[in-house]
Amino acid sequence: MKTLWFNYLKYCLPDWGVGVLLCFLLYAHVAYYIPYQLCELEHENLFVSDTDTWMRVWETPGGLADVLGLWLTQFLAIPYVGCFVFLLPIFLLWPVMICLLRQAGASFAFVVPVAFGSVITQLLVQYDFNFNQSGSIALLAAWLFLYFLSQIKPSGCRWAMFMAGIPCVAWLFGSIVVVYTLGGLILFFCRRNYMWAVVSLAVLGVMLAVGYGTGCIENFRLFLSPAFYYCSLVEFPVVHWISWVIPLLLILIVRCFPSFGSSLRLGVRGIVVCCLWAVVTGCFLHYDPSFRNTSNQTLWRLNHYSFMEDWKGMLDFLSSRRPITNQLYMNYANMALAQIGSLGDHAFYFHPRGVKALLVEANSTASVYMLMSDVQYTIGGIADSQRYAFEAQTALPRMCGVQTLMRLVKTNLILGHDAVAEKYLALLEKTWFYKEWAHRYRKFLHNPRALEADVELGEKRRGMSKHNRFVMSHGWNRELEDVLQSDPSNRKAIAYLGLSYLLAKDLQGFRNFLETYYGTEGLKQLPLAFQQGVMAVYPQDVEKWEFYRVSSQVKDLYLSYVKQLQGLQGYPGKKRQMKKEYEYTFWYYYMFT
Amino acid sequence: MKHLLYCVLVLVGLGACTPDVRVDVRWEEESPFAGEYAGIVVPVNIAPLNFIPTDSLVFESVLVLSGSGRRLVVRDKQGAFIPELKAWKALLSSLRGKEIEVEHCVKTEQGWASYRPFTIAVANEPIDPYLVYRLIPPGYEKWHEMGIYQRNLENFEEQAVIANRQTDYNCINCHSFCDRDPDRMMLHMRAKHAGTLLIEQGGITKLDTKTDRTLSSLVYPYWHPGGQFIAYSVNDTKQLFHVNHSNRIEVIDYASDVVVYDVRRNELLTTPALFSKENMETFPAFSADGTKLYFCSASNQNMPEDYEKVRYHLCCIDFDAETHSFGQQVDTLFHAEINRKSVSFPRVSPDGHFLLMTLSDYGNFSIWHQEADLWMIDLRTGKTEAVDEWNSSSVESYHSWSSNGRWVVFSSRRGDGLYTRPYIAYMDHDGKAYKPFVLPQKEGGFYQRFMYSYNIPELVKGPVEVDNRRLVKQALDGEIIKVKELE
Repeated sequence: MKTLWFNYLKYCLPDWGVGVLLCFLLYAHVAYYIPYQLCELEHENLFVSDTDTWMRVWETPGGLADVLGLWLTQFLAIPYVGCFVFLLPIFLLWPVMICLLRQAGASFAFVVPVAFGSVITQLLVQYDFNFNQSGSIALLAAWLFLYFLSQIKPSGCRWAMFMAGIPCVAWLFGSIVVVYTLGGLILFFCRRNYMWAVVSLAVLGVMLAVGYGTGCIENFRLFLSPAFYYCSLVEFPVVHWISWVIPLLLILIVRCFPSFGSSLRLGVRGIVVCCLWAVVTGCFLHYDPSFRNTSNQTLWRLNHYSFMEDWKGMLDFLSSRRPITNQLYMNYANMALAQIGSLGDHAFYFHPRGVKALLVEANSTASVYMLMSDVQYTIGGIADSQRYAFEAQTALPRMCGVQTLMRLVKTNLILGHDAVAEKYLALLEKTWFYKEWAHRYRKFLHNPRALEADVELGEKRRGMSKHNRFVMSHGWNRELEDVLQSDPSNRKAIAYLGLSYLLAKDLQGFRNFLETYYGTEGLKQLPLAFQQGVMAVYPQDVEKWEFYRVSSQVKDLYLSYVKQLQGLQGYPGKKRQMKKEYEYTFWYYYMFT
Repeated sequence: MKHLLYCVLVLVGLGACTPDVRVDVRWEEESPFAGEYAGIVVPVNIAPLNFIPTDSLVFESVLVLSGSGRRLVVRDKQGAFIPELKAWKALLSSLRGKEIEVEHCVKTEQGWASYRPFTIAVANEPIDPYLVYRLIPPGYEKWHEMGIYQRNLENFEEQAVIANRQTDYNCINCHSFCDRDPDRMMLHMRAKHAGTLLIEQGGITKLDTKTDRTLSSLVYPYWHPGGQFIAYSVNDTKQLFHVNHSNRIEVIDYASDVVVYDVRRNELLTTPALFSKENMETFPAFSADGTKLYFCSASNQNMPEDYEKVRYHLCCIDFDAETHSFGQQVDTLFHAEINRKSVSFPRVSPDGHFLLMTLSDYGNFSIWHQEADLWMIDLRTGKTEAVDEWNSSSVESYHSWSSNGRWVVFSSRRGDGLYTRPYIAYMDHDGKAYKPFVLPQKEGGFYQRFMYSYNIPELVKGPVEVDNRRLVKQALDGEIIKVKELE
């Protein structure tokens, strides 16, 4: 016994230390690289905490894994806690795999790093935004169940339990039953009791056939693969099979070579162990970018800022990424600027290109629809905001998310569709984290006076178009004009409208805009970009400069701009030269963008 | 082990016990259940109703359903009172053609009290046992999951006839049955794997129904009772979004025609009255004997500007199935301009006496019209009136008759203004309509959290038995037969 413990401490303690250190590093990795992916997962899902939800556990194959996975998503947006919740089922795989590998006969020497290999493969797969956390929960459950079975000594009893477990695992955890069955066969029956193994496989086959025949299993191929836990709208990447194949392979190897490594000298063992850790770490670092969705992290981050209404955070982040070439990011930038009231002053700070810098076109993804809903909500286009929020909701994998629901509550309240707002509120009231929010908004139901007194909702309702027409029937500018007709004090809409003329380089339109709106409640004083627009529209008309109260700094800058431009006539590096001093001006945009 | 078993049995026994309700005080006040359920008529074969109070209940409550010496006590289960299936069935069987007395009893500090009882009538005539509908979120341009499902009305079983997750998330729509026969149905698929699936006596045919002379593929269907023909509209449809209107969106036709598809010959028939350039014809429906074809017709307008001027008349034309020919004269049964209303979904009762239709202020896509209501024409007398018992302040739109003509299922948005729910209503021989009730569900809070609309509820005489996988296979890989050009 003493020797056993000595061996254990000698071989495993350093390994455990390395493993725990790696766990911390993985946590840091997740916290650094994908915190906003986790937020997006939270925003795109809704866990309604009631009996109906938990009853779904029994309704379809994989119900328990699905409900548990969904339950976990509600914690993912909590800073740092979300990362831990995301990693928890994966980290738990590690001790379970160690126990199982030991049970399979692996020597102390290599079991810890080898088991960590399955943690890494599962983490890589779960990095994929479209892979549901239920897949990791199901894998953990399958291995855990097998470990408990391995503790049963009488082989007949263990076999019976194993057999009984096949339908249970299939029903509660879904396609992971394949791993469970194969893993069980390797662990318990690969070197003896072949008949039991054959019978077990037959049971699995019969169960699948019955499931298919009765319609419980709709897609046979899906039920035999990890694609069961993957978003059904997206093609399943074949490489994701690693999360099933690698651990099964490890157990198989251990079963085939149980005493491997036990006879090696201590030094050699040490080298092999170090190599194993290096391979595990190296594989993770090498393959991580190909599993992790690197292209959408920024979009999810911006969406999270928008969800939290953290406009300053959004602008700070975007400032560090200038120049912005992505129109989606540009939409967020302009929206954040409008929200803090400085769109007119910093309109060219992020290098916008064209009118789509204000509002992109729909591309049928939930993220873009939600962004469009956000922009429309910002300017007061409530009907359109509602439309895009609903489209975003329809595009979500589960067709219901916290963020879309909250927007739908607000827009329906503003539009006076209280009954459906009440339906959504009732759902949000059954969540842990949005209960309070829902209670707060419930007071606006059937209470127009309270709604109109509310700073946000009241302003939006007052700004609603008094006359009906079809949305976008006469273009974006007409939408904004309509909003302004109802609420001339809407500075966000004014900023968007003026800027849309400037971005379109429509000087005549901008001139009309000035004539219509200058001096109204929302445009008593022209912001910087509009003053620059005045200089472009009336380059020689000093009276107009005075009338529109163009500041002396803008005038001086314009004069120096014109002078420098004239001086550089014919010079091939003119654009570069002008950019140095005037890149944030409308004049530079007008001539060189 | 034995002790454990005894404990379990005792617990089960306790759970099954109903409280001993002996009412000491009778209140004159109306029960919070009465508004929704008092005076409804239910079919003898319907699944247990969901009794859900309109206000939250202050006291512990039970519902006592009684009649003909039977008594059924129903307890609260998560805010809803749903009778146990077997007991409910027994109660209905014993009260066929009679009334159930519903007594809402509450436990006060002084003992049991009861509100003024109300009654529910049990009709003699059963309803067709299955309802087929499409489940789809009430969205606009984007869609995701949808499917055509059948629900056994005698219990709570629901099964997918076909779901679009099986067919690459395409759009599945416009299911229709020949005279409520589950063995003769059709449905369309759009986007991926586009085509029309025609299911007849186990055979499945996939059709490409777009021809050079028609505006579009075939759209809104209605089977001829003989089964040889299906009338369809062909439509050029767009949807637009309102900025500030009681209706969220407007689905408008820029042009439309009506054609009749000959199932046997795989060809289309039409006549100038159904295929004119000056008018838009849509929503065809055959009479019960198949000798007339009803349709909606409106004169062309400058679209989309004049969308509110588009009002559809209800017209009809003779149809001869033997000679494949149409009559020469078009009768107008409901004049849209005179009545300042627009007709959609004309549906004739199986006895041919009544025509049920949806009327809205303008246009034809009534599901998005809050003002849309159900109206009935007595075809024997020509009397036309709104079915007030069935209408609400919200949308009433699609509807279908049961095969005995005593029941109507219609879709309504009265629940929350957006998500359509199916309502079941009784109409007696004289055409008197009775208060409807919503399709009962297994869980009381079902509709509050359900994020789909029930679209095109169609009553059928039995289950759709076409094998789902065969249907999917045909939908995905089936040979497509091109419909012959319109001559």
